[in-house]
Amino acid sequence: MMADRNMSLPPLRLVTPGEAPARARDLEWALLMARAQQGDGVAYARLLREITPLLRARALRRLRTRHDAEDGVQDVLLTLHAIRHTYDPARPFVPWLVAIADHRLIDGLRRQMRRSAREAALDDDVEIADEHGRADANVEHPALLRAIDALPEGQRQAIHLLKLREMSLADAARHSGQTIGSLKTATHRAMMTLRAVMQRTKQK
Amino acid sequence: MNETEDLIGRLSHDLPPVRRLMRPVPRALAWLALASVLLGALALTEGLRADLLVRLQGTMFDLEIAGMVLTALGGTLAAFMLSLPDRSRRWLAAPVPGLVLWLASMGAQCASGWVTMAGSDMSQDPVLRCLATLLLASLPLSLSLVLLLRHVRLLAPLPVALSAAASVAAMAALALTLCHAIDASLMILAFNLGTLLVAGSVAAVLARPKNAGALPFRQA
Repeated sequence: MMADRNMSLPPLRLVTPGEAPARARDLEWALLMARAQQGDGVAYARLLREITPLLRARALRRLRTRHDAEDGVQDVLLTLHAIRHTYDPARPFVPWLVAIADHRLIDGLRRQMRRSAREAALDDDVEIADEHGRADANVEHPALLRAIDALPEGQRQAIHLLKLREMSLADAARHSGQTIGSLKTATHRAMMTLRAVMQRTKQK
Repeated sequence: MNETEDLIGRLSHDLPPVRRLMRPVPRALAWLALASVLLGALALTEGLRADLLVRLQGTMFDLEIAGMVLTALGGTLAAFMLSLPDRSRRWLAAPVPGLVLWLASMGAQCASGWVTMAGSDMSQDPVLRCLATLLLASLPLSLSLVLLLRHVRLLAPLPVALSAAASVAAMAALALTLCHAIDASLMILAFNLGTLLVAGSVAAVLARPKNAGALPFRQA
């Protein structure tokens, strides 16, 4: 009987079989979110850490690579952060979270396909331009140069061509033999890594 | 994975409190109340059409008005509901009965030739004045909805935009019908469907989901 019930569950269902623990977990997350809405950063950090595995599993199901999935997870976290005032603690938390995650991950998938299908994706260009000044201003910083050297090959090349030699995306693509889409993705990832590294350097 | 951990750290660091949104139904009703005040003010300044009482005795005209009101109610409720991630997508159907009633009764009036199809009655009410009424009604309504529902740009904006467009188009058409004597002429059909189409298209263009990565958030 129990076995039958378990068999009938969808294979990748993320809630533990048996409704009581899932309900308790939902209630706990709802409380943490309610406290986060009141400005409790500790509760918020705990909530985000606890939901990340669930988001990662959903992202891995939809996006091709581990990197894309991690980008997807971060995108969901940023979205959740931006619209955290729309959560009503009287309602279950997980459906709210999963709905946001699915919207964002499907969008991410669409963006991924658009990026590989055609060249212009303005959002990324704007972001690159925004980061440009900051990267130039810090370019002599030894920690930054070390961090650039430590990047994976593709990302290092993207940063080198686009940020240091200030090539256009089209020129950099011709020069490196990479597609514009993969250059943008590599730059985006590299900038995230560099930002994190520089932040750690500053904190030290 | 470290990047994600960093992000969590940055997001939760120095977290400001946020004001929770009110429930969707009270929000929708509050907006409808404000919209009614606006339409009332518009009717007062523009003046109701001279033959309104006569026209209200016609069943088709009443059905058309009822259709507009129902579309506005359903569209508004749907927009506020759909703007929340965890509400049923079925709310998208809420403006449909009103829309069917509105368009069918308008179509029936056209078909029965109740009023001339050529739009000869336009001479009493120049096109520009009708257009002005439409804009005066729809612009503030649309802008206020965009403001109230702006968070949805990160989720699934199209259903919200379409419901809101139906609601705004219905209210603008209501203002037009109450203030200007241009019933079932081709012109009002063009105006109403035009408003619906324009509102819907603008909504669809504006409704492309945004990249959350480009959002400003507090840096550590």
